[in-house]
This record gives sequence, structure tokens and C-alpha cells, in this order.
Amino acid sequence: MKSSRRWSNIVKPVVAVSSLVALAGCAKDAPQDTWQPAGPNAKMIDDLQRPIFYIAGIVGVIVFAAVAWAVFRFRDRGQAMPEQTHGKPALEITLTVIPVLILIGVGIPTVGTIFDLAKTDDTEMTINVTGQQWWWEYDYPAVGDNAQVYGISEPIVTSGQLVIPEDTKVLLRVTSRDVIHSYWIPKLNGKKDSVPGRVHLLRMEGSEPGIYAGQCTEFCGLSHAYMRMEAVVLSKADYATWVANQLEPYTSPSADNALALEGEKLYLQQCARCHQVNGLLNPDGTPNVAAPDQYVVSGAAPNLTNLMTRNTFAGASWDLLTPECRDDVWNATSEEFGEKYLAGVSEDCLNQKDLREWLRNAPEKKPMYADPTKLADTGGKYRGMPALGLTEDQINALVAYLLELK
Amino acid sequence: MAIIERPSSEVAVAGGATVGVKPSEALGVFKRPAASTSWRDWIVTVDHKKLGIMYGVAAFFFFIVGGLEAVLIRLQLIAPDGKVLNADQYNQMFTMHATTMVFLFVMPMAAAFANYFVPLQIGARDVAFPRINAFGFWCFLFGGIFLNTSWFLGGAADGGWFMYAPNSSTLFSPSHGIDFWSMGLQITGIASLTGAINLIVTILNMRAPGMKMMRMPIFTWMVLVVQFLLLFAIPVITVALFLLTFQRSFDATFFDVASGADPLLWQHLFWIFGHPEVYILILPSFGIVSEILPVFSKKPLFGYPIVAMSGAAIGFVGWGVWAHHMFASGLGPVSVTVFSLATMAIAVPTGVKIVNWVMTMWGGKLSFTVPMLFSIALVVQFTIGGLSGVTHAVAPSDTQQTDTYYIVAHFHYVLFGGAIFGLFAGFYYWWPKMFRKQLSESLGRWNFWLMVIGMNMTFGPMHMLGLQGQPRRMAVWTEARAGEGFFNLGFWNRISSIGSLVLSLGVLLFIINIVYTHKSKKVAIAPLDPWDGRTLEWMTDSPPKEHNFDSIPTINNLDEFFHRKYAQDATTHEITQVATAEEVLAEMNAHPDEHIHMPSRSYWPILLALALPVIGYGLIYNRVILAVGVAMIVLTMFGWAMEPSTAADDDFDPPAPGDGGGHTKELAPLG
Amino acid sequence: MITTGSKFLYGLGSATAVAAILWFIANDGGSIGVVSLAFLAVALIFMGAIASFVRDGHVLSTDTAAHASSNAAQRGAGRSWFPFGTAITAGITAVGLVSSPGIFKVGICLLFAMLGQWLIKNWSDRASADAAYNEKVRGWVVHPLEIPVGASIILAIIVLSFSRVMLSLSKEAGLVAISVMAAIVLAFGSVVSVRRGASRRVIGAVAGIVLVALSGTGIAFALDGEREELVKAAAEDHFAHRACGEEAEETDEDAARSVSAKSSVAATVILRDGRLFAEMDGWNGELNSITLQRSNPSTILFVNDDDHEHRMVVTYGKITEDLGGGVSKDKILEACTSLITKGGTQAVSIVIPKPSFASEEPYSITVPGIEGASIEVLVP
Repeated sequence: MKSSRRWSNIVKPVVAVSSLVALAGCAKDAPQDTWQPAGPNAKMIDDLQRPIFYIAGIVGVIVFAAVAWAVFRFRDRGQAMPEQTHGKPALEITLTVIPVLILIGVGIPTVGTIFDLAKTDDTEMTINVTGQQWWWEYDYPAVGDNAQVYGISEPIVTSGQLVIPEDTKVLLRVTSRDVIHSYWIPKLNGKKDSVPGRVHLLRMEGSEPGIYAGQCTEFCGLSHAYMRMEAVVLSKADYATWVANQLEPYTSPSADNALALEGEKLYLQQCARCHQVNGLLNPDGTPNVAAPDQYVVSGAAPNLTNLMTRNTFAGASWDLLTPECRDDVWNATSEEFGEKYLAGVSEDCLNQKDLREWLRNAPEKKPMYADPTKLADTGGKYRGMPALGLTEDQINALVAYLLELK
Repeated sequence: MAIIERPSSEVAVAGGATVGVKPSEALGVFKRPAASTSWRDWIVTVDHKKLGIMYGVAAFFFFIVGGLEAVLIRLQLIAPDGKVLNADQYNQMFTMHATTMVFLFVMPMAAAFANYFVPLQIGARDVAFPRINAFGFWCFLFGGIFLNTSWFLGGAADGGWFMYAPNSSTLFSPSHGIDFWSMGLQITGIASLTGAINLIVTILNMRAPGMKMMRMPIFTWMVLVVQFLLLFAIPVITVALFLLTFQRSFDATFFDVASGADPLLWQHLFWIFGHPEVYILILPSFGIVSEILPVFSKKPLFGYPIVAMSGAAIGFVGWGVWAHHMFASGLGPVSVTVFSLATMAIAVPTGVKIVNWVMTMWGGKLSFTVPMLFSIALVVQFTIGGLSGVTHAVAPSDTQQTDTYYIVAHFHYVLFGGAIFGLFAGFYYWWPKMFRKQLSESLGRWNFWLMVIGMNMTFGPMHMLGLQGQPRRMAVWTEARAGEGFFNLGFWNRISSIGSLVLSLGVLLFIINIVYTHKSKKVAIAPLDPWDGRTLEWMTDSPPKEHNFDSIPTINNLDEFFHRKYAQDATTHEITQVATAEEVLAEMNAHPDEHIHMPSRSYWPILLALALPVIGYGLIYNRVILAVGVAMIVLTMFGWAMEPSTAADDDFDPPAPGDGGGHTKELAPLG
Repeated sequence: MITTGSKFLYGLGSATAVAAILWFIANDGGSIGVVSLAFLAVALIFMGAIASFVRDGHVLSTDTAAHASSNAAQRGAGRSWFPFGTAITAGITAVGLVSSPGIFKVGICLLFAMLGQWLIKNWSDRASADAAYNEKVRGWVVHPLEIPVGASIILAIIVLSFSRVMLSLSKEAGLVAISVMAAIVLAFGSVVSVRRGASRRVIGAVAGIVLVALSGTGIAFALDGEREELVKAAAEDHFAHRACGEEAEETDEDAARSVSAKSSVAATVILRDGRLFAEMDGWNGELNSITLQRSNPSTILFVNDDDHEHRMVVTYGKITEDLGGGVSKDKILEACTSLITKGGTQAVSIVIPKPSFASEEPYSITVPGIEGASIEVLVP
């Protein structure tokens, strides 16, 4: 009777811990779960950490059992004064050597994995990733394999979603424009800090088409919580379609869409100072070049060319898709995913509510140092998008125009 | 407080003879304060025990402040898109929570115990530099207050306690919060540094006759290691903070990337300090439980030399692991490998300690008093924290876990489950020594269990939150990333927040316990040796006299007090009690030392410390205030330098009428 | 016998007389001010004479016998250097008044210090009959000011002299000098700390001699001027602006002066065998076109493997500067390293504000003097 209860004392925590570990491994529904690798880099980490977690669990259970046993067995029951021993060298050495051996066992594969994850000579595609308060910019240089293999004949600049081809060894060159951020797509790889003035390399590879959530993980100031990102993995064919779409020359809204045409005008007045739309022409026929360096602390604002292919806006904090359409894309099978993603944001699927709130008063939706009365410390520059004071009519026109950017 | 007392002059009128003016020694800017029992004595005291208590009270106050900040953080995160705090307030809150807990609670609380008990444990009358000791305390207190005044002056620091550059520059943090932070910590750093030098000199030079290093109580050992860590770590953070102050106040460009600087410079400086800091926080608690476990197991500490040496080993290796806080910051694979392996190596001496604690209990005669309960909880909780630490010593694994709640869980298990539980064990264990009454055991049990439940409920779920990918330091979390099912972030965030309230209740019970114990007539004065202690601090009165021991004992054994009470029968090996604590004490007091000179009280430590925050305000607001502060520094340093450490006999205020006669610096009853 | 009260009146009277003369000189005479002041001076001196006669009306002071034997009367008979010192400092002030404001300010400070010291000395001399005690009283009052001010003056002398020496010596000699200096300080410190019995007078004398020697050397080296490179660099305004043309000559073999990020840079530009190419982390091989992000601090490291000295120049468009008043000026954006000798490296941090497609001239990295050495810089 007694001994069985003693056993259950030990067995219960073992069962509890191992079932927790097992459950953590099985949960399928957390978008940033670190235990569900979806690419070889994350898999490498997972293969390494899983046994370590188990070893740690076992060691823990042994220690708890020893404590529990000591507490139970050696409690004061009126026994005689124990022997005043100061230790048993042989036992102590044994109990020191065991953890040393365990740690050597852990250390060897660790070193191998560190170097595997730092390899860069097998790169097939290179993308520049630039963090700033509080969004990520991706630019795809039009040189080398990028141009020759993947057809990126002109540089592509996007934000919010990193789009990469399936089973391709992509190398991110991560840097920052202002403070330190950290790039992290848990299902594809561990994180890497983006440090201003430094370029850090991060391997990225997805083995299954789909959309993978991530979040900036280095505290980067006021709106750190709203600096999110998504990585989209497309099959190679779909990726070619995506590249082709991105490179298509800009066309103004058609004449029968008067509202959108009005929006384009408004865009040139209100938005084009900071936001670039490639190919957009000024009223005098010259190409429009945004100059965010004059208005924004970090010197950049998201490039809005083909905005409606992205699904998210404002540092991936809000979706451009309504919740239903979003679920449709996120939950799509890997076969259907490409098609659904490339459909972009249609008028029916547009998340009007968040987008309009954003246009109405951006700093209220996402905390930014964008108070026009407090710009003295930043040399008159905003840190994010300020409230533009648009009327509802203007917002209607802008939304109609933005819908045309696909 | 006469400014200048001119000597009285007598001029004889009659007979043409002149009596010379008698110079008086009482001339001075301030008269030296004399001993008294009023509140004034707390301001001018240099007694290590009084300073220890003041350290403790002030640190506990900051513990409550930091705790309230923590509760606000948890309330904000109890549900998605929390509205309790805005993003700016949240950032200030977690910055100040960490800063307060690390610099204003755990460090000074450890200093409180070290101050009070190290001289007692080594059989000394005071620390080596009593006025510097007082100066250290006032620096800590004024630095802490200075730091917290930022709340009322435009907002506290908002860059995280790690304050990574360049987010800490004025461009990205325009409020004065970080100025307060950097200067406040420089001031408290003075406290740590002077305290470290003081305790090192004390421990190395002022041990009682016969107390070799390997006969020192383990708490004193751990304090010694910690002071060496402080001695080398504090200068590093001071340099970093100094650079930061220059960057913010004088437009220096140490971390300005456009001028070619490397922001990682700050990270290296910070973590070269920051990692030893972790051991600075935990080792005193290790020392405390290493005292408590043997007492309540009725056995000496298992493997005493190994525990002492592993503490020293942690102290050494602790310097070679700082970059494990930077595995994701782009160091390159070689550095990452080195630091990853070094970090694993440090797990060994830490593991050794756990093994030795378990082996101390093994085969003992365990009584489960509240201090013992807290100590056992430390062993278990620290093990969890240590094991989760090993999982992110593995660098690739760490790149998934760092900056997520998994790390928050890890270090709270180490620092709350470890360091703070150790401190609470110390409260309960040493309370009767410090305040004559023993804290209520029954309330103590409630306190203990609520804290254990609260602590595990708060920080346990954070393991899951972190592995599910919830990053730290986010003012809000969103439903869109929460997931569903057993591991959804919503449920576990809620549990964690509720846990923090349970934990707060536990701490509240501790305060209630103090009030109850000291107000209630039912709680009797504790006996001289309530726990059957083993070390020297129990071999004197409770609370000890100002000069600690009437006669300094000669030490023949580790656990000297135990060996004076108990003897082993040579043939049967049976251990029997041969003397009670009262008898041991009476025997010692029968031959008191003569002419015990205690250091004299002084105004200068508090005045000098007061000048430092004035300089801080001056740098932030007005250079005139700065000049005043500098003048204060110069003058008070001068006054201090000119003041003899022991006052001349007539350099005291005249005794207050009816105060029972003159005070002298000799306080001991002479034999 | 001149009593205290009469002394005060005489002094005030004399000062007023001086003021009257000054007023006369300053206002070319004949004004009401001169008359009033002269009247006042005469009146004060007259009152002083009366006070002298009645001995300040003090009963005791009429007792000449007691007074003559009083303590106050015993003191003050010794020689005092203060009148002499005051005269000297007043002289310095006067010289400063006609020659340079700097000397005048120093003179004023010295004058005040001297008078202050005199005042305190006189005050303390009357504190008691015990000279040693009086000295102590003086210490109580003035040491808090004297010691820190004295210490800072000595420190300033040390710092100034030493820095003059170091700026004048060549880099190699400077290294030796500082080592020797440090060794001497260390040795002296050790001797003092070991030989506790050493006379304070001896130590003070040695320190004093060293101080005099140091300041003498400092003055000598200051007159000699700074070392050649520094003079040249200052002449070329090296610190404020780096000229990027071939003609500027200043060199800095050891690369950037700043604490610069030299690892994980955006690009490394290498000049080797007459060819200029770039290497970038994440791209394999040698590149002759690099892509940099807009508005982003990018660090470019230049490595000169050529036998001659070269500099790297990055040109990235131009901006129009508003000079105010409707005037504006085009400014070419460029950044460059110093001339780098073989094997040297230097980093340049730039922030490119505009995309390259918006600029008429292409952005490029070149090395002046090497024909055709150019790397294209693309900024999307």
C-alpha cells in the first residue's frame, strides 16, 4: 500500500511532464509554435532540441524524486541525531561526472547544428530584409540567380509578407534602419537580430506551400507589439506567377472607375511624399519618387506597389482580408494554397473596417510617435504614419484606388 | 548644530594679568553625532546591523513597488488587446519592473543579509569600513528614489532593463526616463562597489581567531564570491552607463550607427556585467539555503568544500558566458559555439550544488519549518529553472526560445523560485535573531504555500506560452496568433495572470505575518537559539549588542556553535547535547573583552550620498543644480576626510538631560 | 596706536580717495561725483583720526598697559608677505588691463585669492593666543576650498603639460614616453606605500620637482608645436571634412578613427591587381554591382591590396540644400576614406537617401587614380 503510493508519487510527475511534452508537440493550431518545423532549418533545430527537452525532463524527474524521497523518508520521526558526515568523495565525483557526460552528449550535436545553420555557400536566392519601426521591408535584388533563375529582372520591393519559393535555399540579409529588431518565423528558422549598420544572414527554406506567422522579437520601442510578419511559401510555378505580377508595369485606374481615379489624385497629394508606387507618374508626367527620408525618422515607408497582393498592412498588424477570406487562405491545403494566395485581395474580401480606421487615424490604431506637436526631438520627422485628417469621401476614394494596386 | 563655535575668551581685568584664551576642541562645522536611541541615530549610524535592517526595509519597499508593476503587467496581458496600460506605459512598466527587482530588491536584500550576518558569522565587531558601509546604503536608497522619481517627471525609462542601443538614444526615447535610469543606476552602482570592497576586506581580514577560510559558514563564502563578482562587474556597467549618459546628455556618438558605431558594443558591455549579475542575484540565496538545510536536517552541509568551490567556480566561469544572451544577435558561428559550450559547462557547478543539497537532506532528521519549506522549494524550482536553462544553452534551440516567454519562465524560476525564495527562507530563519520574535509558523505556512502555488501558476504556463511563440515585452498579444486547443495563448495567459494575484496574496501574508508577530501579545519572545543553529551568529544575544560579541570566540570547527553544544561519543559515535545555547553564551560572556572600540557615528555618509542625486537632477534639468551638487560632493568629501574614524572623547553633543549620563564611544560594559 | 575701528575708517577713506581719482580720470574731471567722493574721503579719514584718538571709545583699550600685553597686540608683529603678494597680483591685473583680457582675468582671480587669504589669516590670528591653534582654525575654514581648488589646478597643469608632450611627440616616441611615465608613477607609488616612514617633506619635494619639470617640459613642447601629421591634418580640416579628391594628402594608415563596425558590414570593397571589386556576405564570388537599401546606414569597408596609397570614394547622387531666402545649392553626396597604404582597411558609413533610379547620375564606388575602377551601386 505504502510503496504503491510512493511509486505513484514518482510516476505522476513523469506522466504529467511527458504528456505535456507530447501535447506541446502535437498542438496543430498555434501559428508561431516553435515545435512545428515546416522547413529544413527549423527541422534541424527541432531534431536537436527535442531530445534535449526529454533529457532535461528525465533529469528533472530524477531530482524531484530524490527530493520527494528525502522529504518523505528522512522527516523527523524522533530518530537519533544523524551522523555528522561532511560528504563522500566517491559519490560526489560520480554525481559530478554524470552531468558532465550528459552535457558532452548534448554539446557535440549542438556544435554541428550551429555550423550547419551558419552555412551560406549553398544559397539559391538572396533577399534583403530591412527592419524599421515598426514594419519589415523586403527587397529582391535583380542580380545573380535572383535574375537568372527566378526571373527577377527588376528589383522588387515589398513589405509585410516575405514571399519565397518552395524547397529553395533562401538567404536573408537582415539589417535595420533605426533600432535593433529581430526577424523570426518560428516554423522556418530561429531568429536573427537585425542590427543597424550590420548585415546578418539568416537561412530560410519552406518545404510546403503555406503562410507562416512571425513576430519581431527584439524590443524595438513603442509599438514593438505591433511589428509582425508573415512568410509565404509558394510552389515554384506559383512563384513565377507572383514575380511576373510584381514586375508588371503600373497602370492607372481605368476611366470608368472615377472614384479610383480621384483616389489616385488624392494619393499623389497625400501619400506619395512617403509611399512609393513604382511607375506612378506625377501630374507633369515625371515619375513620382517618394521622399520618406524627409518626413520619417527611419527614412522609409512601405512601398505600396501591388499592395493588394499582400494580404496585410501596417507591419502585418492587420489583415487586408476579411476574417473569412483570411481563414480560407491560411487553412488552405498546400495544393490549393498558391491559387488562393495569388488571387490577392478582391473587393469582396477587403477588410474595409481596419483599413478605413487606419486611414482615418493611424496613430490611434497603432501607437507611434506621430503626434505633430511633439516632433521637436526627432528633427520634425514622424516615426510612423500620422493622422492625415482625411474626410470620409477622401477615404472612399483612396480605398477604391488602393484596391486597384494589384 | 552650531556653525562655528568660537572659543570662549576670558580677559582678566584686574591686576593687569591676562588669562590666555583657551582653545576648545569643540570647534567644527558640525558636531559629531553621539549615540542615541531616537530616529536620528538611524541617519547617522555606522552599525552594520542597523544598516542591514535599513537595507532590508528599503529593499522590501522596492519589492512591493516592483511587484505592483508586475501585477499591472499581468493584468494588461490577461486578455488579448489589453487596455489596462497603453503601449508607452507598458514599456515603462516592464523596464522598471526588471530594474527595480534586480537593482533595488534582490541585490540590496542580499546586501542586507550580508551586512547583518557576515560580521556575526565570522565573529567580527563590525565591517572594515563602517562609514563607507553607511555611505553605500544611502547611495542605494537615494539612487533608488532618484530612479523612481522619473515616474512623476515625464515618464520612467522605456527601453527595457537591457536598454539596447540605439533604442536608448534621445531620438528613440525622448523622455527623461532613460537619463534617470542611467544615472540612478550609476548611483546604486556606487553602493554595490563600495559594499563589495568593504565585505571583501572584512571577510579576508576580520575573521575570528581560528576561523580559516574553510571553516567559514557557507553563506559567508557565497557572499565573498558575490562581492568579487560585483567588484569586477559593476565597473563594466558603470562604463556602459557613463557612455549612455554622454550619448544622451552631451550628444556623444558611441552608439550612433551613422557615425560608424557598432550597436553591439553596448550589448557586450551590458552582458559582461549582466551575466555575472545573474550569479550576483542567486548566490546569496544559495548561501542562505546552504545554511538552512543543514540546520533543519541536523547534518552538516554535504560536501562543504565542493559547495564552496563550486560557488567560486561559478564566479569564474560566469565571466565567460555573457554572449549566450546574444545568440541571435549575429555573432558568427565560432563565437556562438564557444559561448554555447561555456554555458553548458557552468551547469556543472550549479548542478553540483543541487546534488549536495539533496544529499544534505538524505539521511538527516528533517523538520519542516517555514524556512526549510522555502529552501526545499528553492531546490525544486531552481532545478526547473536550471534545466530550462540547459535547453537554451544549446544555441540553435535558443534562437527559437530567446526573447519569448520561455525565457521569462526560465529566469523567473531561477530568480523568483530561486533567489527570492531563498531570501524569504532567510527572513523566516533569521527573523528571531534580528527582532527577538519568531514569525508565526502557521501564517508562514500559508504564506509559503500561496507563494509556491502563485509562483508556479504565474511562471509555469509561461514555458508553454514561449514555446507557442509568444514573444516578450509586447504590450498586447493578439487573438489572431493565439491558436486554439490545449495550448492556446489566451487560456494560459489568463492562468498566469491569476497566478500573479495568488502570488501577491502570498507576499501580502508575509507582511501580515510581520505585523501580527510584532503586535500580538500571544507571540512570545523567541528563545536564544530557536532553530538549534550551527553557526556563530546564534552564539550571541538576539538582537546582538552593538559590538556583537562580549568576547570574540576562538574557532576550532566548521559549525563552531554546533560543536560547542554537541559532542560525539568516541565509542558509540552517538551525538549528544552537552550544553544549551544559553550555557554557551554565558560561558563566553563570563570573560568579556576590555576596551571595545566601536566606530563613531557620522553625518558625512548621508550628506555625501545626498549630493549624487542632486548632480543627477542637475545633468537633466539645470547646470546650476549640477554646480550645487558638485560643491556638495567636494565639501562633504572634505569634511569626511578630515573626520577621524573614531571621534575624540569630547567631540560629542553634550548628553541630553536625563539621558542617563554621558555617552562615550566605548559602549561595551567593561570587565 | 591704530585701533581696529580707525583702521576700518582709514581703509574706507583711502578707497574712496582712490575712487575719486579714478572718477576724475575717467570723466575728465569737474563732475559732482569727484567732489562728493573727495568729500567723503576726507570725512572718513577725519573720523578715523578721531577713532584713533579715542581708541575706538573702548574702555579697555584706554588701558594702555593691559592693551600692550594683550594677545592681539602680541600678534601681527611678524613679517607678512601679503602686502607684497597683493602688490604683485595688483600689478599683474594692471598689466592685464592694458595688454590682454586673459592676463587681466588671471590677475583678478589671483588678487581675490590673495585678499581672501589675507583676510582669513588676519581673522584666524585673532582667534586665540595659541598660534598652533590659530593655524588649525584657519584650516577649518579655508581647507575645504583651498585643497580642492589647489588639487584641480595641479591636475590641470599635469593634464595640459602631459597632453602637450604627447601631441608633440611622434606616435612611436609617445608610446615610449607614456610607458616610462607610467613606470615611474608606479615605482614612486610603490616606494611611498612601502616606506611608510618616508618624510612627507621629501615626498612633497619630489612631487613638486616632478610637477615643475613636467610643466616646464609641457611649455617647451607646446612652444615646439604639435607633431607634423596633426598640423597637416588640422590645416586640411581633416576632422570636419574629408576631401575626396586626389590632391588632399593626409593619410591615416590605420583606418577609421571611430569605433567602427567592421564585421558584418554591408559590403567589402577590395582593390587588388588594379581591379576593384566587392564582396558581400550572402552573395558568392566577386561582384561589380552591389545593392544597398535606401535610407539605411550601410558600412562599406575598403581594403587596399595595391602597392600605392589609394582612397575609395562613394558617390550617391546629389541633394538640393535650401540655404534660406530662396537660394538653394546642389550638393554632391559623396563619402570617402583617407588615403590607405597597402594592406590597410578603412570603413565608411553612409546613408543613401534616394533610390538610384531617381537620380540622373548612377551611384558608384570608385578609386581616384585607377582607370576604370568602378562598382555600380543600386538602390531600389
